[in-house]
Amino acid sequence: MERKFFLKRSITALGVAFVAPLVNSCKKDNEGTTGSGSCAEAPAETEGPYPTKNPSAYVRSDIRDDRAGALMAASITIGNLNNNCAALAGVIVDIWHCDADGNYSEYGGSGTQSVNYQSVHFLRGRQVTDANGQVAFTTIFPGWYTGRATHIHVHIYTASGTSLKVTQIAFPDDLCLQVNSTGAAYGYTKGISGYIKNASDNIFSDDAAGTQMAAITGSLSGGYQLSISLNVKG
Amino acid sequence: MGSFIQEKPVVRFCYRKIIEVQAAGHWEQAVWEDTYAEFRIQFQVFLAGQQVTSFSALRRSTPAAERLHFLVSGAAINYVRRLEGIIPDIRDNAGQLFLSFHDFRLEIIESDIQQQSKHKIALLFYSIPMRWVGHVGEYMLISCADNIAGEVPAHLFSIPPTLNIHTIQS
Repeated sequence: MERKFFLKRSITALGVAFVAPLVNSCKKDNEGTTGSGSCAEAPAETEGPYPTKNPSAYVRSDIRDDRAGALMAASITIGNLNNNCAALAGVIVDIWHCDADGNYSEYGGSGTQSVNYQSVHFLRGRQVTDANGQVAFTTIFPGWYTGRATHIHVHIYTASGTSLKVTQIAFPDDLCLQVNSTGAAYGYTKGISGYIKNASDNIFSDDAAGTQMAAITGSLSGGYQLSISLNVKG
Repeated sequence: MGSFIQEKPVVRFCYRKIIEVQAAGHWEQAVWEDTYAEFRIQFQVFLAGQQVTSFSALRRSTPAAERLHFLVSGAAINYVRRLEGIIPDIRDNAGQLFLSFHDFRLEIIESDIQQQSKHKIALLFYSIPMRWVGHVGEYMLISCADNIAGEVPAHLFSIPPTLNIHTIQS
């Protein structure tokens, strides 16, 4: 796809060079050289075989890739503690979580394992908050792994990349137990034996106020809607 | 020809492409700049109040920082995709790129959140299995053919310094 794009651009550039006299004779007023007198606009040129910058693979709202699971729409609102928790626009929000089996997209345990480049960063995403301080992701209901309650990692930082907060989103115990005990058809085959509830989780057990707890509605078949507000010193 | 081919070992090559401050080429420069920006972002996940600025210092104090190799790869993967599954730089004797890959890995050799000039990474491209047919003079003769009778495609090439045989199977 990309190569076709470049070929198309190259052909277009060549075409302009070769047929310019003909084109000039029949161009519309708003085409070609602009400006007045001897003041001409610089021509657009390709920079080479790879002329454009590519965004990080994390910059996307649908972070599922090839992962199976119950659909989940996650809406995260960022507020500014330095401004009465008013919406904080323009900050970057990274999220990442495990799949239905409890695995993260990572290299193997030794750190030296290679991965297929086509689906290497599943369930990781990055968005910038809108005027309402919100970001939205399409993902799946996370699974769980030994030692932790179900959670989503969140990293919030300024537009220039300075970290504002690294935190996690908690899920209601009952809902997680339900998904993992009845959701085999959706990929949740692990069951609930050994599942750790939030009160015993070493991250969430001190969150008595519930500030890390998400509000979640929906169902396995219809999908879930997660919403949470997280406040940072913006 | 089919049985002759099948008697030869199968190898997978690993090309370790190093990208650093003097990176030549637009693609390499873009990878270098964007992986550095991602490094500075992801580095903060592991800092936890520490005053270190270099990758080597962080990995000594924080073993989990080894995850940065993977996390920074997110900035490179869309550039890797533009290679369309063909390992860069490695050409056969006719000057053609010819080695296909599916697997890749990014390795941070060194970096520093305060000195971009120290940012140095390696992209490792792992080729698909290739049949090592033999040698012609100083050149290695390989083929992607597996179980094909008659004529099969082949490539003649010399092994550059950062191309290794990663695995071999009789």
